[in-house]
Amino acid sequence: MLTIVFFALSGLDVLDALDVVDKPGLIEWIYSLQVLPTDDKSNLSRCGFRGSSHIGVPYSSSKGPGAPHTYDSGHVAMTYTGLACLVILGDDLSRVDKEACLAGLRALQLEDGSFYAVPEGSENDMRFVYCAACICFMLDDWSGMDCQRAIDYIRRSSSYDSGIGQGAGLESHGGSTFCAVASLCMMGKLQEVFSERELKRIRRWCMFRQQNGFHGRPNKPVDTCYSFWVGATLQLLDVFQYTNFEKNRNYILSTQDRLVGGFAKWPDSHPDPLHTYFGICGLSLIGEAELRKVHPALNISMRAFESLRQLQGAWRQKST
Amino acid sequence: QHGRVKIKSTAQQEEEKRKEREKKLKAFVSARDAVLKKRSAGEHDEEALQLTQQLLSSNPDFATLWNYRREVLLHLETLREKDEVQKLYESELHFIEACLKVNPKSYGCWHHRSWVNTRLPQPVWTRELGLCDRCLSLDERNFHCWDYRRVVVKESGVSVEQELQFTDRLIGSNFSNYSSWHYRSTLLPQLHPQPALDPAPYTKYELAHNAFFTDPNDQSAWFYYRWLLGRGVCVSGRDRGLSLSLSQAQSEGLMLVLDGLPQQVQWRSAHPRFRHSPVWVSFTNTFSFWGDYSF
Repeated sequence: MLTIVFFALSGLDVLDALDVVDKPGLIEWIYSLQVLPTDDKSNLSRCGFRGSSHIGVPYSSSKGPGAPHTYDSGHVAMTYTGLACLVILGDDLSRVDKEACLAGLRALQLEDGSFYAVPEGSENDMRFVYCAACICFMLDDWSGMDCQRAIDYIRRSSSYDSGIGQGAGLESHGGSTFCAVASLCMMGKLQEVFSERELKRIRRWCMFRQQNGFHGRPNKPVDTCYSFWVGATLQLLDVFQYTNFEKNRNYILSTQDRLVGGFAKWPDSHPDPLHTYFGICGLSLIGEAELRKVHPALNISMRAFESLRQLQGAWRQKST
Repeated sequence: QHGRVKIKSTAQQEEEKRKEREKKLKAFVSARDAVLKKRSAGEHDEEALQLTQQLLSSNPDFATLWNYRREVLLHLETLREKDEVQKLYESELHFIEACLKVNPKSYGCWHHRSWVNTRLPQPVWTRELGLCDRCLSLDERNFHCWDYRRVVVKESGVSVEQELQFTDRLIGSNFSNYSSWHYRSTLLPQLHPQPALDPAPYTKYELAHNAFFTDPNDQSAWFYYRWLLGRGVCVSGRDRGLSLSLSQAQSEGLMLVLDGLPQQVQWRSAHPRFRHSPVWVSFTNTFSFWGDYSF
């Protein structure tokens, strides 16, 4: 399942432990999840990456055209994490059909600017706006989405308390606030979309999410993963240094499993890949020793981000 | 496994649990494979409904299965009379409710329920509102339920006043209800869209005051109060003069209406260099007022 692989892989990267991974093998597996255009390109709007092979499509390592299948399509979160994993593994993305991915992405955007996860429809909200922005950011090509519509969706999702919800009229949430702010940062439009006054209020709402660790909404219990979602948002808004690092760190570490390792959302709970990964990222934000720095918007290590930048530089050179 | 607390058990119990899990996994995998095979074969029949029901009951987050179920239901619609279609979708609602009991926060479940209501020849909105009430009584912060409620309210024409009363009840019984405060913030502007012209509803501070006097450490009422104060008008200094703080800059042309009568009052911008200002001041000792004012 691609998203879980991303948590594990990016986590290992932040821990500087990627040498334990069979990189070529994993790269092949990821490419086998790419939904490629068929010979007649009739399925372009369904391209991207799938999350796993459970639907039973024959194995293909992205070295030829796609095989037609009525129910085969990409999933926006899988396309995002698939590309991120390839970048982390040092792949040059040469087997990614960028045009097809972008066409598949365009097909997922709704009138209101938000995105479905899959072409046959699903719920639509800020999470998938973020996935879309990451895809465009990594492929260095914003033709995959109508940015202005997405920006309008983000503005309409701003709530009375200056937090940002999953959609218009919906309750402010640390996760969706991260998705919105990070998307705008990747587009390079944060200051254009929000006035300084509005940004101050967003900072304030986010700051108030720290109790010891962070929670996602007022009066909810704190949860390890918000140390990243809210922490990274504060970092992008240039005020993370004003949070209490010690309380944050102590909370994250209190959710660590003494026997098997990893982090859980709460102390004395079962650890899982998601909370382990975001616990590590949360610690990286506060500068924990021996952890690589994390790109607060794209959510991969700065090392991986640098190699992505180099790759994008080479693409630009080629096209000129 | 999200957020489950660990419970210690003996080695034998662990082994029994493992065997149980393996059995369940086998049953799940074979049912899943059967379903995917049927879908590939384009079969849209009762058996498909049964199989997907079996799987979704224990795993309501399997999105592909909801998609397939929708395909089957759409196909069955074409084969049935209107009253049978009503029954078909009503039993679907029954099924979804059972899934929601397993996971009240499943995106797939709520999304599917919304979809079913678009297919029902005669949706029963009072029942849907009742479901929301029940769900919220179990977890007042379930945003899936709140979001669904907003859809139900919109479709069924429940009045904004009624919903405001609903929030009054919830907040009255538990001040620490951020979701209810949030809902109020969307309802008030629907009833009173021009706070600068009609500020009175936004100056009813008692609910917020009561809340933060009861528990000063609770963020909910403070965030709401801050928002209220920022709406349209903040009036201060009633005895000797008025200062007016608006949420948006205005230029000249403010008129004070007191108890229905327009007043002769001179206004000066607090920013003398700018004609557009959010803060205006009047100096007068010709009246002090406690009546209903509007601008």
